[in-house]
Amino acid sequence: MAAQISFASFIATVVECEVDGAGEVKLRRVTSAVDTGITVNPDTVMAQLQGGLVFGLTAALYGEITLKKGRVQQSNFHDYRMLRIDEVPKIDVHLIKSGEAPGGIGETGATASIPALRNAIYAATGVALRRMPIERNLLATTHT
Amino acid sequence: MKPLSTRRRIWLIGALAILVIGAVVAWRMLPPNALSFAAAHAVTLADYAGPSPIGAPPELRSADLVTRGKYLVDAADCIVCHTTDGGQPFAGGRAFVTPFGILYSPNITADRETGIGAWSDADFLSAVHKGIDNQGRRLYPAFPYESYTLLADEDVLAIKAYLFSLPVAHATSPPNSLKFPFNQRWLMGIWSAFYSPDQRFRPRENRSPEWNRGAYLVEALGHCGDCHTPRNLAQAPDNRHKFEGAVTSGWRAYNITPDAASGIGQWSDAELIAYLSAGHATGHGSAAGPMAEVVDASLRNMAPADVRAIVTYLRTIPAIRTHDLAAPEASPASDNPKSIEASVDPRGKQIFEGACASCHGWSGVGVLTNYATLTGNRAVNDPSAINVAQIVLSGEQRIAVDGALLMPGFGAAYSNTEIAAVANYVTARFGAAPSRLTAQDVAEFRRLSSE
Repeated sequence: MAAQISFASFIATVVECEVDGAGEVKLRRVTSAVDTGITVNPDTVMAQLQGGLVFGLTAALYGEITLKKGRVQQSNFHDYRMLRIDEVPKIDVHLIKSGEAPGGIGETGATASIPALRNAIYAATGVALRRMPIERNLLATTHT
Repeated sequence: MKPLSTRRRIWLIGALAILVIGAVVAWRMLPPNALSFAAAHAVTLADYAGPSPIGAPPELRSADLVTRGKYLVDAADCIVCHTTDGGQPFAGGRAFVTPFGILYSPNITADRETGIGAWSDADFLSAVHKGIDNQGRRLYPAFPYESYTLLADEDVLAIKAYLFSLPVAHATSPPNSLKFPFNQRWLMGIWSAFYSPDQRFRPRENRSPEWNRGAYLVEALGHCGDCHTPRNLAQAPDNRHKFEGAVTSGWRAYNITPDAASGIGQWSDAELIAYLSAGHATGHGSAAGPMAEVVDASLRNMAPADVRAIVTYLRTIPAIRTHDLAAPEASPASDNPKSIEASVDPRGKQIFEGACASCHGWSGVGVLTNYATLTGNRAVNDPSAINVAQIVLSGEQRIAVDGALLMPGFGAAYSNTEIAAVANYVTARFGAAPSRLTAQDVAEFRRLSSE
C-alpha cells in the first residue's frame, strides 16, 4: 500500500498481487481512497483515477526504453508492452466528500499505483525492488 | 588343436571387438553422398547427351556472364549467409552459432584487402570446390562446399563475375570464437577428405532432363541438405537420413521427403510450387525464419521451370518418416475463443487473445492476409513447437510477392514463460498435437538463434 499527497490531492492505495516462481506478477485488485477537494463531476474524477492507476501499473510492470548504439530499440507495442484490458485488475476508487480547494486528478493515480505495487511485492516476497520496470529476475525463485 | 592360452584369447577377443566397433563407427560416420540414392547411370557432364542441367535457365542462356552469375548466386542463396541484418550485401559478418563456437561469414565483395578482390579464378574455384582459400587455409564447412563442389566450373566463374560486378565493401568480419581443437583449420582437410569429395555433378542418363536439372538445383546450388538433412557427429550431412529434417541455428527444417504424414507426400505440385516461389501454400501455411529468407532471397527469383524441376527431383527422394511429426491438422479450429482443452496454461490463451488473435483469428485462418493462416502449417503441427516459439520471439518481416508482411517479434517484451505458454496454446489449439515447452526451452531457443 501507499499513501501520499499528490498534485494537491490526498490518496491512499492498496494493490493486491501474486508473484509466481518465474517472477511474474499478476494483479488481483486495486483499491484507492482519494480526497481531491471539491468535486464537480465525480464520474470524470473516477475515470481519471482509474486510468492513472492503470498507467502507473503499466510503467511499473513494463515501461522500459533501452538504447543500442544510440538508438531506442522499442518501436511499437509488441516490444513496448502496455497493461492490456485482460490484465487489468478490479479497481475500486472511493471519493471522499470534501469542500476543500480542488487537487489534481490526472497523474494522481499514476503516482499512487507504483509505490503501492512495489510495497505489495515486498509484502509478498520480502524482495525490496528499487528500479522500474520491476526486476522479475530478482523475484524469480525457480531459475530459468 | 592346442587350446589358445588365456592371454591369446583376450588378445583375439580384444582385436575382434575393436574391428566391430571400428566398423560400426565407420558405418555411422561415413554416410553415403547426397546423390547416392540415385547412383546408377551417372555420366560426366561432357558425356551426357540430354539438355544441359547446369547454368542459368534457357531464357538466360544468351544473357551476359554477370546476369547469368546473378541467377546462380540467387539460386545458391549466397546473400543470406554473407550479409548481416541491414548490412551491405555480401559484406559478410553474419554470425553462426554452432556446437563448437561462433563463426562469422567473410566479406565476399571484390574489396582487395578485406574481400576477395585479389582472388584469381583458380583461387575462387578452389574455395568453392575444395574449401581452400587463396592463402591455402581450410574453410569451415558452414560454407557448404560439400554441396558447391558439385558446381560446374563455368557456373562458379559466372558467380565470381557477378560478385566482382557489385559495389565493394571494406569490411572485416569479427574473428571466429571456436573452441580448441575446432579452431585448427587444418583439421578441415581431414573432414573434407571424408565428406567433400572434390567431384562435379554427374547427370543420370536414366532420369529425365527435368530430374537432372532439379538434382543440380537442389544438391549443388540450393544445398537444401545443409538444413534439411541431420548431421552426424562430424557435422556432415547424414544422407542415410536424407531430407528427414533437422534443427539448425535454433530453427527446425522439416522433412522434405515424399513421406505422407511427416514429409511433402500430401502436397500437390501446385502447392509445392506456390510454397517455394511465394513462401505460402493454401492448406500448408507460410514459410518463416530461415525458409522465408530462402524463398525471398533465392527461390522466388528462379524461373518457373526450375521450381518445377526442384519439385520433380524432391518427389524421387526415398521417403523417410519423422517419428514425432503427425499429419498436420487440416481443418481450422473453432471460431469460439472458449473452445480449448482445460489442460492448457491459461496464460497462453491470455497472450494469444491480446497479441495474436487480431491477425491469426480464433480459428487460425488469417484475418487480414492468407499469410497469417496457421491451419495446416507444419510448425504449428510440430509438438516440439520450436519454430512457433522462434517466430513469436523474432517475428517476420518480408516483402512477399503480393506486398509487405509483418509479424511483430514479441521476444523483447514477453518473458520465456509467456512465450512458452503462448506456443503451447497455439499448438494445442491449431495443431495435431500439443507442445509442452518450458521457459528453459525458450531460453535455449533464444541462445541458438541469437546473432
